[in-house]
Amino acid sequence: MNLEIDFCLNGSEIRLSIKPWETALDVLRNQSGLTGVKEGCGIGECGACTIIIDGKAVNSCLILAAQLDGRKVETVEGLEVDGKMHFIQQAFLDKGAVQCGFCTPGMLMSAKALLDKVENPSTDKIVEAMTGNLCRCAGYVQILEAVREATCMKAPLNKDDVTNS
Amino acid sequence: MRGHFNYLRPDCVTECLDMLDQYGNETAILAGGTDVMISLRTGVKKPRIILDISRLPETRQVEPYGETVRVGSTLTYSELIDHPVIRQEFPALCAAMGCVGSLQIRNVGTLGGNIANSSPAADSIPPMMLRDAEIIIQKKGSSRIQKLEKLIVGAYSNTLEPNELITGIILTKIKKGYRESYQRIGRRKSLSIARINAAILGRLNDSGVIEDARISVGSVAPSPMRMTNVESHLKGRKPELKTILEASRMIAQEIIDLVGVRHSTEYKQPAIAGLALKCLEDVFLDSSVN
Repeated sequence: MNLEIDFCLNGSEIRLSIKPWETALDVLRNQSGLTGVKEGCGIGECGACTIIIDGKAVNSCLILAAQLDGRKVETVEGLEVDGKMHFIQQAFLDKGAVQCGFCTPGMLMSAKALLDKVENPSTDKIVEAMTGNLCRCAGYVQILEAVREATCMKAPLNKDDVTNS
Repeated sequence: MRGHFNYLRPDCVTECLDMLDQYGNETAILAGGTDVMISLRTGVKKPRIILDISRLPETRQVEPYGETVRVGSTLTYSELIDHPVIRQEFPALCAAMGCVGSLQIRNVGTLGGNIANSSPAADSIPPMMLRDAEIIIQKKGSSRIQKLEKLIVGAYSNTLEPNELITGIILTKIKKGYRESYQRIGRRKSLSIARINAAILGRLNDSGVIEDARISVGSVAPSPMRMTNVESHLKGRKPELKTILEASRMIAQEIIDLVGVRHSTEYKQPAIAGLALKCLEDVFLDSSVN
């Protein structure tokens, strides 16, 4: 028995036919081909599968695909626009926050959910937003530096927005 | 390995109760899914139907009512932590909810789900116990209200029937002069299950004597429990360090007496006392300075 679900995926409205027992992680990877959504632990502990649903970071391994119906979903693939990297991605590169790369998509999505919501997060707030993402290459220092750097990259952008408008 | 099931998502409580009435015995209810999804993955749960209650509008409100607040059962931890009324009235509950899993978990996990799962180590239950938590339970054609302590009967065990749904939680607002604290010990700060957790609520009278003390400890027994003997012991005493220390040791001793001496006792007994001491200091010693 298949279910039809409609949702907004990285800015595009899509309809998928899914099995009720499939997770969001399964469907995004296997049907939509978004292999940036990684399965690490499959039980919500590692955060490698983090996606953003309606502005909130969630573990896609703990969400049924059926629950995506009607929601706005963002994955790491939606970060790059017109061949230009998102500033959080740029910050990760600049700070050397990527080693094996497996945790990176989830890290980026946790960082994006935070920076979309909070203008200028404190270090505590950054740590809180990133604690659900494990990095086994142990590059936490660089990762936190990258998110802090991204915060600075975002702040002047916003000021420009204000002066232009 | 995940079994196969159907997925139902009712639009309102009435429709949900009809579905539970019909299929309750073969249904697993999914609110946030942070526990259910793991049981499905491991095969511990093999329901024929998953009933997604996460969008029931009647269960998604915070409604202050006189001395109490009615909290919708499917509000997520993040939604509750960010809610001004919850922040103001329930500081220990907010602290406890902030300890749950990670932000990703708190963005989907619900208070109703924490109750229905009835884990001995549930973070939210000890602080709710101190606020006379009453659970609103509905089934087709009727509803009942049960005290949280009575609802949970053991580890992962409660009085909920397959056709019943938790729709809300009634909590008493914090009263004037009361302070409360929540503390927990886990293997690490985030993404850990509490090894020991405790919530303490109390008030000193104008002469600085303990007028009310409520203590709830979790993770150490099959279900979180009130420490009524120690509560009575504290009442009427001045919160001197000696008294507080004695009370924290009594809490630990009472728990060890209840669950028996195990291989972990040597660690747990002082750890429980230390955790209780932290809570008692937060509630009684800091306020006596003010």
